[in-house]
Amino acid sequence: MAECPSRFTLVQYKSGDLSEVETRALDEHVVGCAACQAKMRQIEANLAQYGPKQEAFSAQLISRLSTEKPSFTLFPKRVFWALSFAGAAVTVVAMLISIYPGKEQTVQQQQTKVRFKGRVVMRAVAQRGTDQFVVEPNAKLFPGDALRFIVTTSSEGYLSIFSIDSRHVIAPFYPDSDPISDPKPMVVKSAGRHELPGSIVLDDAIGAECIVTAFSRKPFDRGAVHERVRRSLWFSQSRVPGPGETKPDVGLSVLWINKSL
Amino acid sequence: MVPKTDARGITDNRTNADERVRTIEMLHRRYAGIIYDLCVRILMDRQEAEDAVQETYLNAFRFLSSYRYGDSYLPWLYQIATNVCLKLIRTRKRKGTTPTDNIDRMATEQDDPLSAIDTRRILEALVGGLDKRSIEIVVAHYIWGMDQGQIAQTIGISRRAVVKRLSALKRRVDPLFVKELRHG
Repeated sequence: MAECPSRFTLVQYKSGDLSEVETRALDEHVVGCAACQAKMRQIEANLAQYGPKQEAFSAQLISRLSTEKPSFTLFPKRVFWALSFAGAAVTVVAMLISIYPGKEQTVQQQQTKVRFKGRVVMRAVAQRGTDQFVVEPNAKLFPGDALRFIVTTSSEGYLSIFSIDSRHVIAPFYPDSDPISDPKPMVVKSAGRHELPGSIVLDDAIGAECIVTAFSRKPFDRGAVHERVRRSLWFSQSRVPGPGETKPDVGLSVLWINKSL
Repeated sequence: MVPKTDARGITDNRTNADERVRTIEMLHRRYAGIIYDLCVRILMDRQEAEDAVQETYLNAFRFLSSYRYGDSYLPWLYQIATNVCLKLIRTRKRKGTTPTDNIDRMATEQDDPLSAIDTRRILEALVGGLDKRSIEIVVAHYIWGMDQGQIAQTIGISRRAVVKRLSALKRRVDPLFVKELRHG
């Protein structure tokens, strides 16, 4: 383990919450790291302070629990909101279909008549402090660098930008919503150069990362594109896709970066 | 009903009243010292930290049904403890009281520079101006020392949302920590 673990990881280590493999890795790191040893000493000092009183506090707590009543909720908060939202969404969709049945058919008809081929070029500009620079392939970037994206498309259509790291973890950039609950890409209303709003601040995951821009003239499922990239040969070999390696329905523009501390 | 036990040996003890008490007792035995460490770091007062630990476990008992079976108990307890501590800080701020001791500055500041920071004062400055979720992220990042992935998992939001929020918060929070370090 080259980097120092977070303090919370040290707390998990101390309380025996880590797996055997993680514990072994930390054992080795802590032995040779003065900073982590200092943090461990502080955690241990507080544990030692509480230790002698633990029995008394435990007894006091148990006696208080006997007079307490647990609070029950029918659903956890998250499930409650998810169900409420799903209900509301179904109602809205039902209303829209009943109001505009003709329009839905027109979109479907249009989709079956056209054969699509998406073309997209993506450029990223990084901002580090007051410096700005164009991100070249395999550029060395740091956590906290902010990226702005400029895409040029061959037509109007649908766009999604996301990153995928060496652990296959996907971070959606545009749109930044969860692709499972919201699989739709963002809409590009015209052909040409588009500077995307806002910026993306790079997180603290270190290593090679692949930034993928997906574009198509017809709507596509972002989750399916993520999965396609995850399983692709070119991604597993840490390179950009060659001719014929991507499916023609969704065009991809790929930029590899290296994040380090 | 026989409680479920997952592959890691974590038992779903939320169904029976006696089991619930036993679960809290087990969690107290296993994690109380760790939760105390967190409370001391937030409150900078040992007496208040001891009270906060008790309150944390009472709340854990009350809201055991909110624990997601199969997850680790520690992040869940951390979040409850943080909310208890923040409530105490809000009360303190409203009443204008100050903590009785200033322990960690003397005891361990050579070991860990963060212990020289009066986090209580920083949090008092922030509680009025930030929403609850942002304060939780500040505590998780600056005081728990969690990385972005751990914060996302514990608070239950996406990693991207954590990055965005932290990036927006840093401009406001970093200067407070720097100022406190100089002060300490």
